[in-house]
Amino acid sequence: MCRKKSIVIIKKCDIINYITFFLDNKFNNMKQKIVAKLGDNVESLELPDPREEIMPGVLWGHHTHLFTPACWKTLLWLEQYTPIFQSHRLGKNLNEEIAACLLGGYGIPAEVGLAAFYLMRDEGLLQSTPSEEEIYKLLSSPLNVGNRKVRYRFAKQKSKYLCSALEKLAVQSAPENDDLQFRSWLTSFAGVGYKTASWITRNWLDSDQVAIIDIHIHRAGLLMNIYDIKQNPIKDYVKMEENFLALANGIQVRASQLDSLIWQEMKSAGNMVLRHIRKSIN
Amino acid sequence: MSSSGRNDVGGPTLGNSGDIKCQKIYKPINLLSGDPAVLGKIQVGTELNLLIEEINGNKSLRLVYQNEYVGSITSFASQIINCIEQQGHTYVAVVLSMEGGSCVVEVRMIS
Repeated sequence: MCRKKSIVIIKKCDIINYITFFLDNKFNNMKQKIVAKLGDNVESLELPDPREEIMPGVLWGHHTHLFTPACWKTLLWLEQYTPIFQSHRLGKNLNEEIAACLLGGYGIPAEVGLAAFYLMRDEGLLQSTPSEEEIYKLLSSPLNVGNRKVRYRFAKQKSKYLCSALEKLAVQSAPENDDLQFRSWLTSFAGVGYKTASWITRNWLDSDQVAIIDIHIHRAGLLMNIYDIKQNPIKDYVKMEENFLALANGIQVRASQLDSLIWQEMKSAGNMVLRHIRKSIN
Repeated sequence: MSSSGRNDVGGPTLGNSGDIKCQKIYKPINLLSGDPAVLGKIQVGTELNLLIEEINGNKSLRLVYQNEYVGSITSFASQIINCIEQQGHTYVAVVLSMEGGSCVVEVRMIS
């Protein structure tokens, strides 16, 4: 008798739960509908409810709220016919690409790194095996950056790394048929850590299997809650990369394009991002 | 060239991103999340005011017509917000086209 009664109660609860679920989704699940003129055509995009999770703890957010996954997805969709999707390559061959990325990176503004790369390239040093001293002589001289003369930081250190890299490239073939093997091979170069190796891999192979966790991607990741404030790219690179790639997969965009877009936008956002992060931490 | 820097000046909460070069015009920009009732009141050439809002910790750049919310923009938004808040510029949006539910604007610097 008691068992029959309890079965009836369970069934009533199931019905109530079903009705609640149905009403909740019918009236509260608000997909995001976006209409835009792209090129000559008006196109539309539909995104999930902002409260829906892409991965545990990471919500889509609203497409008009900056730095949310929905916003990044929307921006990529809006940009699909524009130059952001052109090649990421900085050099015409692998020697140049590795040199360009080696000469950029930590503590060096983009335009200064590029100026150093152009100088090395234009002086013909990148298709041979110059000595460290030859490289240093050029790198330590003032660089033309826009209409300014700028000293290149870390000239001694980068001369050593570049010299070593060019020597290695003269005798080794790159495993270009596998993105992750290629990156792993790059990390055997002096001065090339995961980030620079990932940058070269993304650029040269147009890879979506790596992430370039620099300051801009790190900040964007914090704002989207794919990273914890305690995580550090030096010790947690692989995990942080996994999360970034999972996000790209979750919002169905190419990781390489998402990275490129985030980098450009976060750079443009300036100090607003820092204030945003400080608020979200506190 | 895209992402040609990848520099790491400081950690995620340190470092100065420096002054951004504010453009005089940003275009074309699609208006998003438009309010159909207010869209019905505007046309090509209409000027819209910009409003920076913060909702649940997220910034949003909204366009307003006669105190009514028209829609939001995300393209160039972070740069425009930076130019308004950090560098003191003033901008206005002008409707360039309206077609099939879409609305495209340009954002002009006025000071």
